[in-house]
Amino acid sequence: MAFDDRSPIYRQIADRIEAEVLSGALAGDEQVMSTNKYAAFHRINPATVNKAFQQLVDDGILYKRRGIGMFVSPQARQQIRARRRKSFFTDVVDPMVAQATAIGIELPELIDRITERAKEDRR
Amino acid sequence: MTTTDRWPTLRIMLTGHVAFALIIWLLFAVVSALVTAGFAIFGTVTTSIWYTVGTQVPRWFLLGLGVDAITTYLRLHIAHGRTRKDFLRQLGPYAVVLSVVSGLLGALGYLAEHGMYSIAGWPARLPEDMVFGRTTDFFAIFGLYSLVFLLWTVIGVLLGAAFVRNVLLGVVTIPLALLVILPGEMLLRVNGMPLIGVLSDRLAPSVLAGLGLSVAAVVVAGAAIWAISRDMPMRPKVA
Amino acid sequence: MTGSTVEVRDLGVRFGAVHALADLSFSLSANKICGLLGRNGSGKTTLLSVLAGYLRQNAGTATVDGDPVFENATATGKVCLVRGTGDASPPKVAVRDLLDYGKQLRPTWDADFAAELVERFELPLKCTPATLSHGKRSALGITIGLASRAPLTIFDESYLGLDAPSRYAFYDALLADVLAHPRTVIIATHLIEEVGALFEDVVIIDEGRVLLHEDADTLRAAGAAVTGEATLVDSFTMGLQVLGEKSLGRTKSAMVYGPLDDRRRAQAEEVGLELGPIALQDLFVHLTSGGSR
Repeated sequence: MAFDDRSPIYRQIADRIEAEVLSGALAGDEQVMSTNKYAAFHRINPATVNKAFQQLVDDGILYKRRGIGMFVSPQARQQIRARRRKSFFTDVVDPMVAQATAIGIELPELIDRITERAKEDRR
Repeated sequence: MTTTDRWPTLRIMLTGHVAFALIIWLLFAVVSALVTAGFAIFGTVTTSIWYTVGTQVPRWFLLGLGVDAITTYLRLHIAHGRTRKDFLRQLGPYAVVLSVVSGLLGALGYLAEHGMYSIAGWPARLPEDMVFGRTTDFFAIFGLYSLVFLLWTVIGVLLGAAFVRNVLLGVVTIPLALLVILPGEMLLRVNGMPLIGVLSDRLAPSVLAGLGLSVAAVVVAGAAIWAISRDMPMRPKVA
Repeated sequence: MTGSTVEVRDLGVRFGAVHALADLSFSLSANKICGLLGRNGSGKTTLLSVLAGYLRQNAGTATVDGDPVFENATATGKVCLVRGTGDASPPKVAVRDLLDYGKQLRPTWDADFAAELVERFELPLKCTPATLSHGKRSALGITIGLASRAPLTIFDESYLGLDAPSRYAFYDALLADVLAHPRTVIIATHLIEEVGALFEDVVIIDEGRVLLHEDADTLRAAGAAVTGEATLVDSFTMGLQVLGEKSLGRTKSAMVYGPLDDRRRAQAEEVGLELGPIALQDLFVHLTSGGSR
């Protein structure tokens, strides 16, 4: 049972597929598992899977080819990255800064640490 | 499944119960033969043993089969999406077929016994003043026994249904059950049961009256079964 | 053949002085897998018994595809209820014969599917239910329910005694079959976390009434756990439906029912409150009577 019962499963499915697109596990124009297979594989209600896939189609991440199946949009990866970039600062950075401040880490400390990591990565 | 198949539960019940009945009757035949042998060795054979073994005891088995029909098979029938009405419709023919087969076996038993006794030179006297005079009155025996067995099967269904519905109802139904079998027992002139024996000696109806009363008894029992079973709840079995 | 619809209105069932069901209403559309959740004694089994024609109600109506159920072959012929008590498994009849009975009594029965399931669950054909283990008896019940292909198939906690691998085999078999042969399925269960993902709809029944009937995913988004400093939590949850609370020192965690809109969420973040999801299981526990507070 790969999905937990604590949040809408269709959302978890959509997130998971987006993650696979982001990481490159799913490439543009690659076919994704049919909703029925996906449902059977993960032991989820097919209607839930349909909802997730439909959401992804509406968001432009997937597209449907009649009679064949669901495919990853060629621009899906870019799209997801752009969207995540947009919300990165509000969703990740701001909370991080708030947390750091809460435990007494000064901003210059944070900035130093980030610069250090950047140097390491370049090596 | 064809739409003309209106008797699946009947077939299922008969397959189970007729086979069981055959085995039981075989057992009785063996016991009867052993008892006869015992008498022959340690004393003399003066009366029909089959009368006792082949009549008195099997009636109770038929009562048991009747109980089984209304408890086990009704539940199975409903579990597979069918109605109580439909079950009761098939129950009638079931009771008749089971009784007739048992009656046949009973009558055959007498014939077999007669054959054995003739060879051994024993008299095949019947212990009471019976409706049939000799053990070779095949059709009379067959008819009478089928009727008696039908009454006992029917009260099995009646008591089974009543007790399953409500224990109090079951207890209250016992006197009714006794009344239902009474006509048959009177015809059979049976002394096996205390109260019935007294009544049958006192009343001693004619054959025609006895038959008429028996038919009435079946109808009354049938009505009672219908009243009890038509909306019988299927409570979860205690596993 | 597709699944049946269910319509229950103001259903009442009395056992003596006890009202097992009172004014119970809900409807289920076709081809859904619906989870029925309820505590022991909530009326689950009684409701399902009425739907299968096992029991007559004292008040209200219960219909399958618009036909009233009790003693109506058009309706009852479409329903197969599997309870742990093996109503379709008389204890002294061999498994092979029991499956044959299914074939004779149910027009929708699929004997090939039954044979497949017998293999999958390793049911000994010659044995009788009386000689089977609890787990195998459950597997037999499930086999009968699945092979019935009844347009309304109901599993009332029918997998008690099955070990985990067998339960997963059941879920797999059920899913695969409804995909190929749509039918309406109701699963009454206590194993909410395990089976939950199979549900499209969830019905929670409590004290003889329907507490809620909701899309499963909507229900998963309907609760939130608000954690933080006790007074902040209290002021935040004012006016909201609080299902339960836990305190440790000055930290409090309150379970709130009812979706929190973005404004509320922002508000929580502002004051430093943590918002977390609530599992279906916990939601159920706290919505029904006797939930620990």
